[in-house]
Amino acid sequence: MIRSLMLFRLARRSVWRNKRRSLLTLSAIAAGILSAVMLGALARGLSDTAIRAAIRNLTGHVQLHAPGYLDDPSIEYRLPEVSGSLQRVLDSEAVSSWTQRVRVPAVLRSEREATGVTLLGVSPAKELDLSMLGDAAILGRMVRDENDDGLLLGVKLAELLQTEIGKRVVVLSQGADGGVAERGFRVVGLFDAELESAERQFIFTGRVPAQELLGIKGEVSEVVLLGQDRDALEELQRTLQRAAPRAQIDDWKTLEPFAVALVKVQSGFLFIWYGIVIVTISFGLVNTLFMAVFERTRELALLQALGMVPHQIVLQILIESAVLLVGGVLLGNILTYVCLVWLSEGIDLGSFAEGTQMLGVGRVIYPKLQWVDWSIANSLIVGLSLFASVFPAWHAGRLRPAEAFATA
Amino acid sequence: MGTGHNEAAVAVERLSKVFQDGDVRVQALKEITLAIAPASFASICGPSGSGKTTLLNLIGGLDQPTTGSIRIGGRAIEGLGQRELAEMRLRHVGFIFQAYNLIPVLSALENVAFVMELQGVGLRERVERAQAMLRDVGLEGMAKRRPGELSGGQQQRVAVARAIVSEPDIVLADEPTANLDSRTAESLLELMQRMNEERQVTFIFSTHDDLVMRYARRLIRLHDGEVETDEEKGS
Repeated sequence: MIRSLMLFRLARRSVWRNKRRSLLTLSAIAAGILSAVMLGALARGLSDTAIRAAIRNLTGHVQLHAPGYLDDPSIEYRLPEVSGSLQRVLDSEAVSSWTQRVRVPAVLRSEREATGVTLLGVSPAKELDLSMLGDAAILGRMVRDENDDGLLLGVKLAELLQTEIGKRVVVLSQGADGGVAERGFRVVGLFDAELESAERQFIFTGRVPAQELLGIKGEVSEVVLLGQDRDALEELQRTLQRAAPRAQIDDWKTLEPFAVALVKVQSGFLFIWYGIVIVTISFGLVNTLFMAVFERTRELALLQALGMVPHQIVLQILIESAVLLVGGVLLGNILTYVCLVWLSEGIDLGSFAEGTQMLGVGRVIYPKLQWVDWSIANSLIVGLSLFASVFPAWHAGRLRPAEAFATA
Repeated sequence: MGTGHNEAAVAVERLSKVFQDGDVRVQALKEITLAIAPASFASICGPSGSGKTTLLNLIGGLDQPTTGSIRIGGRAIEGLGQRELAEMRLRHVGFIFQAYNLIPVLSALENVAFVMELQGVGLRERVERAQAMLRDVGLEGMAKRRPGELSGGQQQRVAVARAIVSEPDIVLADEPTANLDSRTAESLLELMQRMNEERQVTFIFSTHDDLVMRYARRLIRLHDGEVETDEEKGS
């Protein structure tokens, strides 16, 4: 115990003997921690934003369809409206919200232009948690209820079709009988969503008018729900499958492969960055320790002459390394915390809006620090850098006093 | 020749040391045999390259002999591993070097207490003994000063205090006065002589300083790795 305290005191004071060099090493470690943890938090924030955007983009956590709908999302593949045991599962505590929709491809024609869209017949109150309508600014009014036959368009789509609130537009789609289903709707509102692609693609009306238009009374295209935890849906899916054995049930990971791929790619890049940071820090630290050992060859020989055994010399150099690492890691984490607090309102990427649209994420990224990223970054940097320090420490322990006195 | 092997503080027999640097082979010591009695105040002298520092290093266990034996207090040390040699130095040998003698990040008091700390002596006891030792070498008010804040002479006094405080069998001093002016050197030698007489500690110097040789009671003169003369003063 006495000797450990002595080694720690010697190491601590030796570290601060060359203040400038130690501060530079400390700063490099702190910068490494800051960059590794912050990059992790930004990557997780970006992933999380992408996943949330995907989930809020009408996807939800889990969807039920008639088999074949995902390959060909047309009127031919339909489910009966929710009832019975399926309704009991959907109304249980395992599900935080759910809705059922008509969702078919359609053509929307104004007085001047026509374009392909996706027609959604919805129960508006239930859509707020499950679609972009919950966050979007609405000009005019929202579709009031499932019987409302007003039409809600995206702002960009209205611009494209050169139409506006109060004007009539025509929706054409394929009816259940295979014929053309066509009907005029009055535009009652425009929504301004975070993703322009959503504004261009989706049009909303009440579920009942949509069913009437397509001739599918009592039937829907999909049931969508949010579970309590997006990463623990397996049990809920099994329960749903028992309640609706003929439905195809998929979670958001299957429905949004791009978002999942984005998360995987980011995790890969994150570990590459961790590797770069660790190698950089380790080289800096090993260089500092070697300099310290070479400068103090005579002193280390003196310590041995006075009775210090080689493993105590090794331990002393390792403690010096640990002192630098702990100091740098503490400083790095304090800086990280300050940065995270500073950026807690989010980073506005408005000037890169087109790029973020391509990634399917919103304009504002909220850094999200995960305990696992923090602990991996810290433990890898401390552990591997300490491991790298073994080399100069081992070198110091191998010094032979008489040779060291002669050559120093 | 000095005292016999039985009661010797240090006894070396047929001690040789060869340094090999590539193809170059240098025989620094050639079968030296000598014994130094306890409480001696002996000086190994000779010109540069005569082998005096090599002999001191071998006696102190800082280097291994090529052949021959070394006994410190009757115990053979040749062939011991680094760990055992370190333990032997810690318990039985005190060192005073020419320069860079102190640990720069420790105060004078901590430097004196350092060896006791390595020995596992408790805090209170080692501080008391270190303070008493500093008083004894005339540095009572300097306890908290770091080596950089002390003069060369004061630093060597701290080194003497550190070498003696742990009560070793022998103190090996390699050119202890080389960096000191004559007055400071004389004062340091008087101090070591007093410690030798009061505490019966064996001092062995390696030097070519006439002043040290004047103070030494035994002079062992080396030349080309061999003992040229070995004389006891006043015998």
